[in-house]
This record gives sequence, C-alpha cells and structure tokens, in this order.
Amino acid sequence: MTIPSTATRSDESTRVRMPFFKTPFNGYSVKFSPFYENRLAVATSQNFGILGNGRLHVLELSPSSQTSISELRFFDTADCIYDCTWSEDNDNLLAAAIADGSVKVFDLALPPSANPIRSLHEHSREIHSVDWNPVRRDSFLSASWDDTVKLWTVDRPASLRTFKEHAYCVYAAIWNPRHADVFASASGDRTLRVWDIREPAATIVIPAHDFEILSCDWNKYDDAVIATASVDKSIRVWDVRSFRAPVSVLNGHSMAVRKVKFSPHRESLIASCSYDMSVCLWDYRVEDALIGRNDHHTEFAVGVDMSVLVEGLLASTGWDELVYVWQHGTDPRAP
Amino acid sequence: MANFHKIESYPWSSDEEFQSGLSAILGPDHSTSQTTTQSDDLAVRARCFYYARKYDEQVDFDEYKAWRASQPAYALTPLLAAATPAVSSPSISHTTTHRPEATADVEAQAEPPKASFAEIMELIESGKPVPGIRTIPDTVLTGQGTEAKQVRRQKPWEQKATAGTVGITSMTAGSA
Repeated sequence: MTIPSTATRSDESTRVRMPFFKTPFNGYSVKFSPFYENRLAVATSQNFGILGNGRLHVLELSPSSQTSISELRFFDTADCIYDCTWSEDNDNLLAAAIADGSVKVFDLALPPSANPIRSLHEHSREIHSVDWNPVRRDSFLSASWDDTVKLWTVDRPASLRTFKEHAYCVYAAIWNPRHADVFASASGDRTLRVWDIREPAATIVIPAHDFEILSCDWNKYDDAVIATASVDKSIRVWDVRSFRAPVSVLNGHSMAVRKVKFSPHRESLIASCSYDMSVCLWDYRVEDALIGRNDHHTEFAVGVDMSVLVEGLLASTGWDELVYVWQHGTDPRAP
Repeated sequence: MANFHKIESYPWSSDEEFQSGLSAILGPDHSTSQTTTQSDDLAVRARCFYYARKYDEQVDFDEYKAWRASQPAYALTPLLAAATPAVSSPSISHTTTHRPEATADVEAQAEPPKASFAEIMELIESGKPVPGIRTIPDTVLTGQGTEAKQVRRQKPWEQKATAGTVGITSMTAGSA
C-alpha cells in the first residue's frame, strides 16, 4: 500500500506544523500510554468496522519537537478492533477488543510474528470496550454486544467472572480510578450500572438516558461522580450517591456522543467526541459548560483520550482514518 | 484567497443541495462512465462553484486541486465518494448497532479504491464477498510475555489525593 506512515499537515496561514497520522483503516479508539509521555495506541477497523481486518498501531510523538508522529509498531488481526487498553502493570502489554468476541493481548517487546501472546475468546459477539484496572493492575474488563461484561487476568485462560444483567449491548465497562473492585458499565439498555466485584449483583442501576448509552467515565478526583454519553446527543454527569437527577447535562453535540472522558488532571474537565465529527471540551461545573470545540475530523470522531502524563495533551481518531495529537487550547490543525 | 482547510471541512456530504447538484452533474452511472480522475475533477469544480456562491469567496479550481494533491490525507482520497447520495440525516433513532450511515467525503483511497459505507452494507446484504480482506491466521504464541521495563507512574489524582475518599466504597461494599 502507498499510505505514508507519517505525515504533517500544514496550515496555509501559518508556518507551524501539527502532527497527524494516517491510518489505512477507520479509527475507533486512541489511548495514551500510562508509562511513556510520547506513546499512544490506536485501534482501527477496515470497512468502517462492519467487516474486515483490524490493525493496532503504536505511535510515538517525536520527543524533541512533537512535530511528527511515527509508527513504533503495528499488529494485524483477522477481525476489526474496536478498542484497546494499556496494561497498568507492564509497559509493553496492550489488550485489544476484537469484533470476533475475543480479547487479544499484545507484547510490544516481541516482534509482530510472536504476537498476540493471548487470545481470550468467550464473548459470543463483538467486544466494544476493554479497560485495564488502574488500581489493582492485574486485571481488565471487556464489554460486549453479547450483553455481558467479563473480568480477566493475563495469566488465566478463562475469565474470572461474567457480569450479566444488562438487557442489551454493553458499550463500555470502566474501572473506578480509586477503588480496585468497583467499575461502571454503560449499555444500549439505557442504564448505567455500578458494580463491586465482591458483590453478587450490580449495586447501583441508573436509568441514565432515554436512548442508548455509548460511553461512561469516572471523575478522577471525586470517586462517586461519573459521566455518561448517549445517542440522545447529551452527556450527563451523575453522583452515584444521589442519582435521582444528573448533576449536570451537557448539550452541544448535534449527533450521538460516542465517547466521554474525564481529565486525569483537572477535576471538572471532560472531553467528548461525536458522530457530529467534533471533539468537545467541557467544564461540567460552570454554566456555559462547553469550553472548546475542535472540528478537525472530516468523519465521525470515534476515539478521544487525554494524556495521564502530560497535562493538556489530547488525541483523537475517527472514520476519516486520521489520528491527531494536540495541546489543549491549540487547534489540532493549526496551533 | 479562500482557506482550503475551511473548504475541506465544510460538511459536503450532509449538504443535500450540494449532493443533489453533484449527482446531477456526475449522472446516475458516474462510477462506470467516467474515470475516478474525471469524477474527482468534476467534484472539485462543483465544490469551488458551490462554495464561492455560498460564501462569496472565490475559489480557484487549479489552486484548490493542487492544494488537495499536496495534502497526503486528501491526495490519497478521491472525491468520488462525495457523489454518494446523501444519506438519511442521523437521528437519535438510528440503529441498535449505532453504526450510522456514512456521511464522509473521505471514504476511498488511491488503490485499491475503498468502498463507501453504503456499498459495503450492500455487498453484505446481498451476500457478496467484500474485497480487500486479508486472511490472518488466528494463531496465538502463548510463550512467556516479557517483563516490564518501566516502573509504574503515579497517577495525577494519586499525587493530589487526600486520605479518606468516602463515597463509593461505603455505597457499594455494604449495600447488598
């Protein structure tokens, strides 16, 4: 193929160049490494993720100038990849959510020919999200269209537990950033559930939206606050201790909100991306909550992340096959 | 001179007026009667004309075409896909798999040309094979994974944290 592995888009009005990366497939998810400031992984899928191969890219910003993105490694899979998560324990490990219902674990220190090192296949339908436990660090979750969430460790071939309560596809299952046993799941059944893996059933069920919920994320500084993103175009922020009404409703996207993410650095800062092709930044505690909108994608914006190691560094990807990395407050295309 | 980035980011595929005009220019069977290059040129010309009329900003066809060709992301993506009829405007009632209809301009690549979302759906629904998918064996080399090279980095919220985060533990642990 004739796709350049790295490229720079210039804005005609300035001489400043901002990096982006062209992926051969449609972007689905982007995640910054929790170990290296300049490293990120991108999950991509052929044919818009309907049917085809997947490719997991590991990219690096050039450390000196951050003016280019290069590819450190990529891994190909038979089926589409919808999400990925870095190990919190081993800087070389990555787990990927595959459309065939398997989780595949890749080791960056080994060549692609020696990968994947695990294929954990229990889900009967597409896996839509994977999330590594940031507190206990030995386990991760997978959320699937088979309506279940599964708990895994890398060294066991079978899942430790299956969480089956949702009545429809589970689009995300995300660990609480402070409590090793607590996670939340977002589903097409329009509920958000909070689980404690020591308990037999979900401990909290929040009918958070009137339409499908595609994403959720915990506040990093208040462990009872969680945001949900829905097909109803809104983001809602909830306090799980009193969830009769949302703490905040963030309106501004004109189509389904695909991902929502709390800042690792600022308590009230939220990033989101949407089928309206934009990446938005919000401060859910102020009245005019929408504090930034980036329209750099020319197709559905499907993946967004905020670096845990570099404050203000953002990345996004989408169906336009582009990955952008930029500093908050700058334009991804023309800083 | 017009800002080509602005032109590029204009929502061409969701502008029904533009799309219907473009379809009329290209004709119903543009994919077979014209080469990709011809169609692309027509699509670029249509954009120039439409944009100039809408924003009263002259867009030079040759310059815009040259600019697109100089942009790696666009040079690889023929505009032909933009001629795909505009699809139903997305709404909150879309499909359960939340894979809404494609609205992109950027749907095809130099070689081999990529199919649009609608074309792929059509292939699948008619039971035809989707081209370009590689067979990748599902082998797993369950050897020893390598050891970590880096020590864990503390999370920002752990550095700033104070003891005794109440909320959720008390909520969930004892609530069964």
